[in-house]
Amino acid sequence: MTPAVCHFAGRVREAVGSPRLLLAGLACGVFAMTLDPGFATHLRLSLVLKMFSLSYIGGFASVIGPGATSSPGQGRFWSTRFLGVDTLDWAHPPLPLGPKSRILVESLAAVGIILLWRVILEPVYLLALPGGSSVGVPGFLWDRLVEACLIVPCAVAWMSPSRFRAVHVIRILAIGPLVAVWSLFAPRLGTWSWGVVAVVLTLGLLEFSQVRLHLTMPFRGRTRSGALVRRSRPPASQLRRDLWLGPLKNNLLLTACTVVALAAFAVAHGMPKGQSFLAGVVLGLSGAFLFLPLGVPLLGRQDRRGGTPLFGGWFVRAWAALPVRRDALLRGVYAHGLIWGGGLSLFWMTLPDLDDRWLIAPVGLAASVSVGGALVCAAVGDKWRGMLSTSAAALALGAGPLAWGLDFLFRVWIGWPPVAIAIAAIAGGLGGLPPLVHLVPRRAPNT
Amino acid sequence: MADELLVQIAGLAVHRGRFTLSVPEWTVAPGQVVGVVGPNGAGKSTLLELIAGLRATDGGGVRVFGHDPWGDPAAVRTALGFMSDDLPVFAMRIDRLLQTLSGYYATWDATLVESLLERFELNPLDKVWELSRGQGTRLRLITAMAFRPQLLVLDEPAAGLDLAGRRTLIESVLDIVRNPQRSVIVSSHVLADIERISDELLVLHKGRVVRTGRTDMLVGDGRTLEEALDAWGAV
Repeated sequence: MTPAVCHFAGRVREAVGSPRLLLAGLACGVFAMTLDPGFATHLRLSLVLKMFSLSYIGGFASVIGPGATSSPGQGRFWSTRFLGVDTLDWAHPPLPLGPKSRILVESLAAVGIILLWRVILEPVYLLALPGGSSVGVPGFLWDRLVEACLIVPCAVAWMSPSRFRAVHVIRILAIGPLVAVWSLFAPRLGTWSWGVVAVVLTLGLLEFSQVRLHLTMPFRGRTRSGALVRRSRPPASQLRRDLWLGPLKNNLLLTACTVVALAAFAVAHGMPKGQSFLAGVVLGLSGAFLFLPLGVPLLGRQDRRGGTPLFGGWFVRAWAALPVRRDALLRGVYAHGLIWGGGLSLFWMTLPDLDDRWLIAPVGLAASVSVGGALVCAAVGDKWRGMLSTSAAALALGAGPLAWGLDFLFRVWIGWPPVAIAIAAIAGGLGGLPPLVHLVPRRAPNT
Repeated sequence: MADELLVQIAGLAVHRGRFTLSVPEWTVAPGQVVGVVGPNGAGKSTLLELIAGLRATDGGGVRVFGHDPWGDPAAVRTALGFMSDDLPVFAMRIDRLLQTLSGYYATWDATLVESLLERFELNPLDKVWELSRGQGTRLRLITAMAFRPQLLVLDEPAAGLDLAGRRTLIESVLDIVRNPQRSVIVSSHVLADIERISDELLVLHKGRVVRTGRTDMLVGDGRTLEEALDAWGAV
């Protein structure tokens, strides 16, 4: 068997074979039943099953109880090891997976087992007991889907080690309310639970992003050659492909989660589902284009050496040895700024009850070209033009309130809307035009 | 013969402030390891950047594989691997970095990459910004060699490398020139390494060519490259 299969088989054995976990699950189930003595028998049984399922998560996380591998000891109850900081590097066979992949896989495996359990066993009770069949198969499956959406981010957040002990303590305190929400409300409150999902998802992502590779996890598996290579294309064609797909592919999980979270929040706050989903998609995707042109981080140092992270010019220098034209690369970066501005404008347009909707087009255009210019300057390390473009983008975005303020103070005779358009136009010119010098193809003097 | 030359330079002049690099004529044929040596400020890095198309000339011509590297960088860099300690690499995990780069080269060799990762003792799950200087140098070497370039240009490849890393570097360079169609141009201050691996030498001093020719002929019997540079006043 492969190490991965052995690993997960061992984890299942830990969860099943830990009497503490099963007893804890049973106790939780009995406690939950006492909350409402009028519960139907099948709901009581369902609760007990849920609590048993929770014990599985505990087993997988190796946090509540480390199972059969070892015990934390009395004096180390609050130690970082017991709280999960060291769990990834603790008593597990070597796997060719990074910590984040491992957490994700283990969370999905745990939730998969829970769902399998519930989808197979619960219908038996539901159908056998009086009134149980009234839920119906589609309703039952929908409840399980909602449940999975709630429990996956919970499991990810729970299993993600954090550097701060306080986070682990807060997690332990928060698990009670989360369990109550999950076991008592989530499957029956439909839309409301999506808001909870969005909150938990955001928290889960934040926790997940905290996972650091400096947890001592030496690479002990062999690399698959396929993981180090992708299909090659002519450089110009590959550049075009990366321009559109790179930001999404290299950040797919975060983008998808952002989209779902934004859409869920918007639905919970009364926006029409289609509209809010579109808004979430547009803003989530355009954000990825802004910070990850071609799928490569635009800002920040590319290695340990010093230099300003904002306008250091690392991006273009990192591409310098590749067989791509510099001007083509920078035109792509500029286009990413335009995409972001367009996405932001579209997002505004989808907002309900927005006054002065006509202002979005000129402000959005000015902000787009300015942001595009700022991105180009950040890419090449042009500090002064970059600061000008950034300021111009801020000016364009604030054109409406600024014009309104000017009109309020000085009573402009043409009214504030034309002033706002003029401010946006000036900002667009100041921010968008100067960086264009970097987009001009280089002449060839070496002839 | 001229068509087979990998690099042809004629009447090259580059001005940078008060510094001027001037190379009247220089060529690199296939199957050679060419060492570029000279003191700091001699123009070694400038010359290598010109060959890689990272810099424009102010006069004269540079042709690599028959193309102008500045005007047509894509045509040149598909077969030219350039490594400099000054060039940053993408801020991502090593395996994703290598995967990203592989899409731009038809000749990318994943098996070679895997073996280089093992030889240079790099973990593909490490992140670029967490690497030490020496590890960063090793990674740059891998990215420059991974697509089996016809011409490999190495600017100070030994900077930050420990003894084991330098040994691996030398072995890798010698592996490359086992193919008679491929050449390596390497500049370094580690003269013992240059003397050991280079077939040809280009000695620069204050932007001017001091000596050029076969290493064994230039250095001569009974003295080291360091002593020869001393004798030529290029230290």
